[in-house]
This record gives sequence, C-alpha cells and structure tokens, in this order.
Amino acid sequence: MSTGLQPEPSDMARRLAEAEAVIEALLAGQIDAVVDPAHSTPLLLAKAQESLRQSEERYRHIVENTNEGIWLSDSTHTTAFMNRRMAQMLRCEEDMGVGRSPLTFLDEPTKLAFAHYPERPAPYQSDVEFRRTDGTRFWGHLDVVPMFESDGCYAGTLAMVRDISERRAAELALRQTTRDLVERTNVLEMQGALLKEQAAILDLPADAIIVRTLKNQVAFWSRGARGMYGWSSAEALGRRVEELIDADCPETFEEICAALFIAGHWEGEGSHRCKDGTHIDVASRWTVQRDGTGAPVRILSISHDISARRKSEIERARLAEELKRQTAVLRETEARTTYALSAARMGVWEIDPKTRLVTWSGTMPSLYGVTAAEAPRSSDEFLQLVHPDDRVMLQNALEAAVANRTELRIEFRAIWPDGTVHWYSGLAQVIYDEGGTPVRVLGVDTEISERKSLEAQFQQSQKMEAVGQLAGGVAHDFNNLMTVVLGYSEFVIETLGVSDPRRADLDEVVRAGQRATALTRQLLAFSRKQVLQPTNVDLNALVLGMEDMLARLIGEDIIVEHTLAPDLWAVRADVGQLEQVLMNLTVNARDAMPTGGRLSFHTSNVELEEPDAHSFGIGAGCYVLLAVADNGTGMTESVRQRLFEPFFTTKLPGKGTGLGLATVYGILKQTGGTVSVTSTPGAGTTFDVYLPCVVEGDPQALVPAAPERGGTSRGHETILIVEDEDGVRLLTRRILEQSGYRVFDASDAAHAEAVFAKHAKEIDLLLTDVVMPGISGAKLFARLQEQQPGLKVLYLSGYTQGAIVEQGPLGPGIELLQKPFTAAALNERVREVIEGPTPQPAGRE
Amino acid sequence: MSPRRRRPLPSLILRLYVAGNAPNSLRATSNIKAICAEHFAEAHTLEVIDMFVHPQRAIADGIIVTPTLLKLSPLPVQRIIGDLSNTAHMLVTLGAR
Repeated sequence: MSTGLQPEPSDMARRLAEAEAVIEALLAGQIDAVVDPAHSTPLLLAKAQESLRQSEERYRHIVENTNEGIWLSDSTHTTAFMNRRMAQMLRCEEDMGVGRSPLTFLDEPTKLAFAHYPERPAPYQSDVEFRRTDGTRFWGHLDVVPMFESDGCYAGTLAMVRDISERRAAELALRQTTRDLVERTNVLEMQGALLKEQAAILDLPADAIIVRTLKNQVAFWSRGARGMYGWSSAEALGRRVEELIDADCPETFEEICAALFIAGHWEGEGSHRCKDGTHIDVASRWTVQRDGTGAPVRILSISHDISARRKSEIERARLAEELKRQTAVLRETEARTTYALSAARMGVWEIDPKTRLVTWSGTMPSLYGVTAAEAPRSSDEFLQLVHPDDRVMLQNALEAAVANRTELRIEFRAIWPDGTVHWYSGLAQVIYDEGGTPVRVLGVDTEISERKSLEAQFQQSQKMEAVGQLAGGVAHDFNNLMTVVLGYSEFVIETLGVSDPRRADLDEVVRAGQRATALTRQLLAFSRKQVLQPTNVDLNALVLGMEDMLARLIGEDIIVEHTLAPDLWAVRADVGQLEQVLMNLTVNARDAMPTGGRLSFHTSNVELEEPDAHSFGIGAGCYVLLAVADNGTGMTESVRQRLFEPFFTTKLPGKGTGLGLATVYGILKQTGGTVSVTSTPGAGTTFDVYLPCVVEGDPQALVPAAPERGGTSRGHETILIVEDEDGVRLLTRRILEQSGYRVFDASDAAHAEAVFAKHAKEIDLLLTDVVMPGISGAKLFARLQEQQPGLKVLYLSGYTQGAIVEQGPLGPGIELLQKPFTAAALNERVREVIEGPTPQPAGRE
Repeated sequence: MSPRRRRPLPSLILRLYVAGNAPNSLRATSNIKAICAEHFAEAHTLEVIDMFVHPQRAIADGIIVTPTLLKLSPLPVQRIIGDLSNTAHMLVTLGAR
C-alpha cells in the first residue's frame, strides 16, 4: 500500500473521485440505489434497475428460446452474435459463429444479393438456402434489417432466420401433391367423362342399376330403376330392396349372396313388384364390389325388364303352336289330298325333259298296278307300262306339247302286270324357265277304265236302244203280219178235216209263226218296249205248271228239283214275262251243265230291309224269292259282272243271242223286282229272283196262271174295231163276226169317230190299236167315252211306246191284248171285257 | 502464488452498504466475501448494512449510492462503489499483497 506515500487528497478531490466512481458505477449499472440525503431514505433506483434487469433477462430468455434464429453482424460483415437457435440451425454451436462472415453460410444467389451490402445496406427478405458448417443445407426465411448509429453510420445488421425446411418440404409436398392432384383430377375427369358415358349407356331407362349393401339396403338407385319400378331414388335410398320390389325369386337374398361371393357374379330371372303393385318379369345380373382385402362391400345389380320378351316368348310359343296346328292341318289336307287322289284313281307325275327322269306321287304306283319299288324312274321305263299300240302316240303328243307350248291332253292304255288293260287320261303342262327352256313337265294321270267301260256301255245301250227301236218297229209290223198269218192259218185249219193231209203242213206254218212271235217278244222284252199286264200270280203254281215244258227244254241228263214254300205270297207280275224269265234261266242253267247235273227251283218269302234291299237296287218290303240253282261250270267274277249285258255271251258264235239274261234283267226291273247271281267256278251258279209280293187287301183276285178256257166265247154285242193295219183289222172283224158279234171297223181315229157318231148307242166295246196314225187309242177312247159313258175298251198292241209306256204298266180296268193273238184269245178277252166293269173315265180324277 | 509475508497484517475492517436484495448489492456482497475469504481470511471484519434498514447509518457514513464498500481500516478510509467485481482494483484498494 502506498497510503503513506501518497499525498493526502483534499476533501474536494476525494469527493470528486468518489463522484467519478459513482458515475462510473452508475454507467456500469452496478448501482442499486441512491441515497437522497434530503429525505434520509434511499432512492428507489434499485427497483428500476431491477425491472430493467428483469426486462433484459426476459429479452435474453426470448432471444435464447425463440424458434427464430437471431444473428448480429457488425459493420465489417463479421458475426457478432447469434442465438442458440441460429447456431443450431447452422450447426455451429461450438463457436456460435462469432467472427465468421455471414456470407459463408449463404448460397450463391444470396451472396450476390449481399455483395455490396455494407455500402448500400437495405432491408432484405427472402427464402434462402443456407449452407451449414457440415456442408448440409436447409431452407430458411431470411429477414435482414440494417442497423445504424445515431449519427447515421452503418453499425451492423440484425438478421432473423426462420427454418422453413419443414414448411418448404410441406410446400414441395403440397406442390407435388397438387401436381398429383391435378393429374389425378385430370384422370378422374377423364374417367368421370368415361363413366358418364358408360353411365349414360348403363343408365338407360330400360336397365335398373341398383347398388346395395350386404344388408340388402339400397345405396344407389338409377334412373332406370326409377323408370322400371316407379320408386324414386330419394324413396329408395337406405331402404331394404325386398321392401321395394318384393322379388318373386326361387332363391333368397342370402342364398344369392353365398353364390355371388364365390363366383363374383350371379344371374337370374324373377318376377318383381313395382310401386304401383304391378308385376314385371326381370332378368338380373349381380356383381360384387370388394375392398382392398377382397372382402365384399357392396353388390351391384343390373336388371332388365323382360316382360315384353316373356310376352314375345309366349307369343312365339303360341305362333309355334299355331304353326304346328297348321302343319297338322296341312298334313291332314295332304293326307286327304292323297286319299282323294287315290280314291279318284289319280296320280301326279313329273318329268325332267333333259334327264327324262320321272318322279311319281305316292298314288301313282297303285294307279298302274305296280308297287312303289317297281315305279318307273325314267320316261322310257314308263313307256314300257304303256300299251304298245299307244306308245308312239303318247311320245309324239308329249314332244308336241313341249315344242308347241301347249297343254298335253291324251287318253291312253297301260297294261298291268296281271295282263289287264286299263285306260288313263293324262293331263300335263310344260314348265319353262325364264329363257324359255322347258325345265319340267308336270302332269296328272287319271284312270278312266270305268269311264271308258261306262262309255262303252253307254254306246252299247245306245246301240241296244237303236236295235230296240228297230226291233220294236219291226216287231210291230211283224206282229201284225203274224197275226194275219196265224189267224188265216187257223181259219184254213178249221175248214180242213181232221184227217186232211194238208192239215199237218198248216200246223207247221202255225208253229213257225209262233216261234217267230216268241222271238219278237224277246226282242221287245229286252228293249223293255213290252206292255206289262201284271196280275197276282202264284209263283209255285207257275213253276209247277211249266214243269213239263221245262223238262222238255233241258233234256234227260238234268234232274229238276223243287223246294217250294207252302204259304208263298202272291206276286204282282206279268205272267207271260215270268214264264219268259223262268225259261231263260232254265236254258242258261242247261247250257252251264253240258254233261248233266241238277237244277233246283226254290221259293220262299223274304222281307228285305235296308240296306240289303238297297244293295239289290230295290225298296225295302216283302218279296218272294225264286232261286234257280245249278251245279254246272259256274263263272268267273269278270263274267259274272257282265252277265246281264245285252249281247254279252260266253257261248260260241251262233249258239246264243246274248239276249237271254239281259231280257231276264229287263223284265224283273220293269216288274219292280231284281235278280242277283252268285257263282263259284266249277261248283255252279244260283240266280236269286226277287219279285214284289201282293200288297195285303188288294181287291184283285188271284188269277190262275196261264188260264186256258176250252171252247169259244161267243156274243151278240156291237164292237167298233179301230186298226190301221188292214190285214189285222179284217182278220179281227172276221173272227168276231164269226163269234156272233156285230162289228163296225175304222182304219183310223177320225174314221172311228165318224162311225161312232152314227152308232154311239149301239156300240158296246171299242177294240182299238194303241198306236195309230193321228191320235192314240187311249185318247180316242176318252173322247168316245164322253159321248157314251158306258163304253168299254180293249186295246190291241204289238208294240208300245210314248204315253202308255211312260205311265207304266196299264192299271186295273185297262185291258190289253197282245198281238199276235189267236182267235180264241181274242174271243176270250172280248168276253171278259164286255162282262167286266165299266172303266172310270180317265179325266175325272 | 507469491510467498506470504510472515508479519501480521493490519486488521481489515470493511463496511458494505447494500440496498436490500438488489442485484448489484447481492453481487457486491458475494464478491467482497469471496475476496476476503481468499485474500484476507485471517484478519478482516466485514459489516453488511442494508441501507433500507439503517438509512441513518448510511447518511452518517456519507453514502449516496449502494452498493458502496467502506474500508475503514487500515486507514485511509476508502470507498469503493459498484458491485466490487473488479477484483484487481479491489485488491489494490484493499491493500492485499
């Protein structure tokens, strides 16, 4: 210590030094309080100091703990201070960066910005990439504020740095995210557009697209679903699907889901109920939407209304049924057509003109008597079936039809394998293509054998008619002539003595005349120009009465038997005709038994009922059956069928006329009966003759057959004879006058009326020809009867036609005498008529 | 360390006026105690007076600011103002060797 050595400072100096120390301490901040001597209390300087210190502490705390870096550099660009945060950022905690240039921590662009900073300091703000001491970098927000002394000199720089690495990373990430988002948005927009298009396609009103949860709740309900079911999307969302559409599906929702989750999709059809209660048929396809783990999350269903399709299916089914039905109808029609063709003996054929191949319809083979296998395949084979005489004609006609484009109409014959000849009518048409080339010939063949046969029969019957006309005409004159011949022959015979040798000669003349008469009768009978005189006839008596005559006819080699029903009904028939029938049948039997045999006559009563009667061509009723049976050679079927044809004969030329059985048939038909024949070749033939029996209560008495009265019947009455044939008239007059009658005669009606006018009262009987020039006998009688109601009439006839025939057999009360007649027959009939009842005038009824 | 003198040092009597717990006062207290402990451990007397408690004594000693250290002994009385953190100056003023 230098106390002793230093001069004692003066009090003033000491005080000054103390004051200086106080000021110094004050400036140094080392003073807490000031003592104010005036108040004897320490000044509260200490408190202010404390606040200041505390504030400084606070700032320091803030500076040290703030998240911002605080960096101070001086005017020489040298770091003077940085807080801990700044040091952390720059990773220079060891020296806190003091003494370094801030530029060493800056990136190049920022360095440039600060290149002239001390000269022209200015605030600066930017995001800057800092370089750390370890070489790594970070982004920070730099906020630079220059500091100036109170005299305006640049004092340094305060910089605040905020680490923005995270923010920047976030920004980068955000930018990237934004870029990604934009890209994704673009993609999404594209996808959206696509989806929109797809949705537009999918969201057709016809399709119902429904997304549902696994609990069957609606998550999406498309416009189509609204259209289909009537529920709006707002109504449907969240509700269970079955509440909305109540699908009538064989599987439950759970069952469908089970299948759906395995397969990924499901398809089915069902009936769905709409909002309005109607039901529609729907086809649905379900798909499942899964999350990332593959677990199902939603179900998408697309449904399509197939009601219309169902309807069309039903309609199609109905059409198919209809088609089937029509096909069946067609088939039936075809079957009918085939049947009709077959029944009509028709067949359809086709020829290809180029190949000459033939196609036949199913009915053709039977038409030609061949089997289907034997059916011709070519036109040449077909020609082999054709009658040799017709082949050339057929071929020419076909060629002409093709050449001239005309229809082919032809009739030809074919020979069946059994040798029979059949007639056909062919009708064909040639079909040409567009070029005019014949492509096929289509034709129809009809078998016309029956028609041909009928035509032949018709021609035959016309021939017979002609013959009949001729025969009738001849017979008329012939009968008149024979009447005269036989009449005068009788006169001569009566004048001759029994032993006169000329008598035998005349008997021959009479017999020849009688044969000629019989022949004429036959001619008239088959031509049915005969006038019938039906009477009630006992057929048994007739058969027995003819026995002798028949026995002579058949000779000794043939035994005749009778089996006659005892209570046989009477028949209504012309006796002479019946005799003719019996005779012809007998002759026929005889010829069938050239070496002898047995001929039997059997009579019985039969009641024919329909349809038996009809099959015989007669009405139902009572008939007497006369069966004439022989055990001769019999006949074939073809002969049997033609048996009753006129001029059909199996006999040698000259042996038979072919008229016998035709006559039988004609007589029986005219009588109201019929005849049928059964025959077995080698065993014999039976003719069954049916004759109508007499109706019960018929007033006419049964008259004996073939009555023969002995002697001559004489009278004195007056008779008017009208006959144009002089020979007959004179003969008749002579016979009657010889019998005691008074006779007037006339050659025609006019003359007769003149005579009658003079002698009306005297004349009892009109004996008149039926057919005369001028008016007929019947008309003449009618006129005369008006003048003389009691007049009786007997007709003479050799031949009838016209009115009388058309009226049928002459009825009761109309008497007829067949020419030629004998004197005895004439006398007898005249007597009968004169003694009989007076005929009713025809016009009165 | 320099070799100590073996002669007994004059007694150091110090009187420190402080202002409560004010920071400079606390620092000054702490600093003088540390100096005394190190340099004047064998013979010193330190009296710390809070002038808020004994303002009259401060006035009597002519104290105008705190902290103020009075070196009463050895004489001359000297005043050291401030937080007594300038140890070198302190040692010179207190007469340490």
